[in-house]
Amino acid sequence: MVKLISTKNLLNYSAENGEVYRVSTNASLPSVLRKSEALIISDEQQEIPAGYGLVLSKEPREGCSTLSEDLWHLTDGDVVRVDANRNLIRALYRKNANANFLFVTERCNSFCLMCSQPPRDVDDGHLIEELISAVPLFDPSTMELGITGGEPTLLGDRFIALLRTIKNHLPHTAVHVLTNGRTASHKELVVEIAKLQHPDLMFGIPLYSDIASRHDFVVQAKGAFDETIRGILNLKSYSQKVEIRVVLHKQTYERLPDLARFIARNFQFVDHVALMGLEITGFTRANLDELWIDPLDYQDQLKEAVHILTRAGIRTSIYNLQLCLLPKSLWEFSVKSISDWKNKYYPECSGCSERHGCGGFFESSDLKRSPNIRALTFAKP
Amino acid sequence: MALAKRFKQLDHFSLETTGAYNLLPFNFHKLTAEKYFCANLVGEHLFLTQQELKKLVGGTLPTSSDTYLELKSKHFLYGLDSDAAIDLLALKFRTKHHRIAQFTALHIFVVTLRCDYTCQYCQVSRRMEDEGDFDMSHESAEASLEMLFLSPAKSVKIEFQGGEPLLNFELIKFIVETALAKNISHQKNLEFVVTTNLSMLDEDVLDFCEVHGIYLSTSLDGPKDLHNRNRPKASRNGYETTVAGIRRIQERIGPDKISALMTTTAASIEMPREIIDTYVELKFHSIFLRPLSPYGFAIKTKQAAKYNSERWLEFFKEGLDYIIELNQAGYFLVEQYTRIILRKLLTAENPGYVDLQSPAGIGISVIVYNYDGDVYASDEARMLKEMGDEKFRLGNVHNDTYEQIFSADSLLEGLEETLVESVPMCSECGYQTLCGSDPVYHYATQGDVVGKKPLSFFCNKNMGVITHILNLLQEPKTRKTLESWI
Amino acid sequence: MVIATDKRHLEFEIDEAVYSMECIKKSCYALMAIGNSEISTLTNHQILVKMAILQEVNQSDAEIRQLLFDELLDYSLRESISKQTEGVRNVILANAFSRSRLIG
Repeated sequence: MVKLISTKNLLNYSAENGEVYRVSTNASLPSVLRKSEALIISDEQQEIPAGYGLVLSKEPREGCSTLSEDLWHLTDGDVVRVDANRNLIRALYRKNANANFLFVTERCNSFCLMCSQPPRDVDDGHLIEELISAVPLFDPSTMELGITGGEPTLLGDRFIALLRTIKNHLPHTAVHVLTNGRTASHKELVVEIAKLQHPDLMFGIPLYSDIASRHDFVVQAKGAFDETIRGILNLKSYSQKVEIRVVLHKQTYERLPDLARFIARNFQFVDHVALMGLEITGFTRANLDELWIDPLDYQDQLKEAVHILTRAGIRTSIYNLQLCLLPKSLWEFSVKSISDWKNKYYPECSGCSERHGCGGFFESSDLKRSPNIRALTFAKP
Repeated sequence: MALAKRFKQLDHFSLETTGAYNLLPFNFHKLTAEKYFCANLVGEHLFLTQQELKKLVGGTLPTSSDTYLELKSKHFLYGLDSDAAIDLLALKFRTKHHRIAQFTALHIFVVTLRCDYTCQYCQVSRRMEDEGDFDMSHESAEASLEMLFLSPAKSVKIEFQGGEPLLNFELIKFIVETALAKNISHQKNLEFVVTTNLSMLDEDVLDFCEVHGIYLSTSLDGPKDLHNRNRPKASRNGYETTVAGIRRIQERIGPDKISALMTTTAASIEMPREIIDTYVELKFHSIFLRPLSPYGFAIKTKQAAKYNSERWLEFFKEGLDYIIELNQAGYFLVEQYTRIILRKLLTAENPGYVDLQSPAGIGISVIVYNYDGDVYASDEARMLKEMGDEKFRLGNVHNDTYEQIFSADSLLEGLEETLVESVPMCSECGYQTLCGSDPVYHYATQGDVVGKKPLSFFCNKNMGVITHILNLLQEPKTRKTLESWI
Repeated sequence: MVIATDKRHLEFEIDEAVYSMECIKKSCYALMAIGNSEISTLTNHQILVKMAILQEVNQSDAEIRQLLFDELLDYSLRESISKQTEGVRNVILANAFSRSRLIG
């Protein structure tokens, strides 16, 4: 009985609840522990041990399922989801990744021009249920988990249940929720979140302009600006940590200093501001003409915005921009942030003295990137 | 715009195309025919021309203009598509005033009236050394500390005043030690400051200050002749003593532990640069260009009448310009009053300076325990009593409870009747959020706590200073210097 | 009321339809360092302001007239702002002082 296991992209799934397993390479686990494990068997192993939830082999072999080559990096401690028919497998959690994001839904109440995860109005409730059963298998020493979508809070009490599960099974893990904050404009949800008393929970909320209509335009939803602001105020009134995120592109760079001033005056209690370079994926590709701008062309606005925020005592970071495209005075704010499985460098980068401090590029930068990327050559002290 | 098909253009989201908008509360002050300074309820500001202001108020300001966007962003108006501004303004207003809940943070202990100097402008009637009965007793100190710890403030500053406080150093030690002991259960942040002319500075004092992290504050009016003329000492070596004391403290317990204040007299007003140079020579990085206040001996010696607000403003401007020049030449020197105004103007915080707040700082920010156990609403209130008027004496630590003292009629009247948001002219002044009320000053000079602002030196001074700072901020290099002070 | 003959006096007639009595009073109050004003009503909506200029004032008659009309314009703008914003101002202040849990 040989089955071929493969994965296409992150979203290949069937709409039924799949099974979750933790990956192990240990063929001699005590029997009582085997049920929740997916064993990756080595070629030397003669017999297929019994009792494991799933047995995977790299080479085709009698009595177990075959793992396709793009999944050979799976290792002990990772957690996978296998669909009901057992021909699709997806990694939910990588123990050694520098960032793990839990993808809970494709549904969203906004429709951002540059959305990297274009929304679909589907009933994908099984995604969060799988994650709720998977969390207990995660390593308790995990530093941080992200929760993303779509819009995670649309899942209402199941979203709360996920947070609760994480808090109970991973009490030392920080949680970073990416949300547009709009549902938080209703106090009921925020009260439920606050009741959880999670020890280390932060909400990353995008704000794209100081002017309501401009923000609403970028997120393609009327009234979104007001809802987001009220959501931020509600979260803060219940002592939740809030980060404001701004994606930098043609529709947001011009008023960036005004937005910084707006944040400094209206949200000076915010825990962090993240200024983010554009990822050429999802809707960004469709709207590229109206979104793309060479980061070199908005250095002045970026400098001024960072100056305004830091002068107001607000912790500020820059993500997804390469050091050669940032003025040197902003390097201290740049975070090497692109996930280790996503980043790459280009031929123009060879010989660059600052490579170690630079996050490099997304794969998607193949489609569009600044013509001004170049190797920097600063002498070492 | 070439958006993909499912996406809608900007004007789909903007109701600005109708041209309608609603005003949010704001005040303005005319600087020139072409320039109005406008500030909203929480001090966010911008400049408009007279034309723009008229159009704005008349409802005809074009909503496609950059001015409109700035007004919207800074909460001077809101459109039909968004009213989050209202929630945000309410929150910002609370933030600006949240310090009030801390209540009295500055507690002044007048440990003695005895003094070895005869300063021209002294606001406290001096008793010569060795006259009896002008020292605070242990009992009064204890009772005052009891009252201090009833204040809800988490951070408390205890300031020793006089006369010359070091003439009663024993009591200072007693108060510090007793306060620290009582604080074990209260866990407040305590800070101690001794204001002194430094003539009594010795090793014991320095040791004690070092052990307890006590700050010292002295008076330095300027170069030797000016200082000695303003602040005569029987032995005629006031300046040398002060300078020696300053240097000794800087070396012994650290330069950040000694600060100096100057007071402007008719003689000082001629030499702003020389005064500032004296501060630079002594390596101070902050100076406070203060005017003369109209209390005590200043009245008797006719100092207060000697210069009006215009002359003082010239002095201030020349001094501030010189200070900025020094900064740009590489010497960091902050003018304190300017910094307070800058904080109010450019940040969301409230700097908490008791003489420039509304409701006034009397009682709710500062309280004075006099040597005889009497309690006063502010240091100026005490000086007023020395001139014969007890209006702002709130009670006595031995006879009155905390509640009785803090609900004294004169205190409540002084607070309630002088809110800048309500009194004539202030209620509509563009500088309202940058200014404050001073009921004791106006009572002392005009006979009523509100005062007629066009005749008030307090008002003229503040308006002149603020206008000057606004003008300075227009020049980019100067702006950068001033921003570095915040 | 006897007016000393060595003092400077200026008189202004102001149309109440253009500037309200409140504006006129406030403007005169604001200029009390320039002069002391007496305000009276004439017939047909005209207000008469008689200003006794203080001795130490150096400005010319024309300059003083300009000062008064500058104040009148400013106070009439303020009056309009106040009328338009009284409601929302009360909402903001009520909101600010209400028992919200916001920690500023």
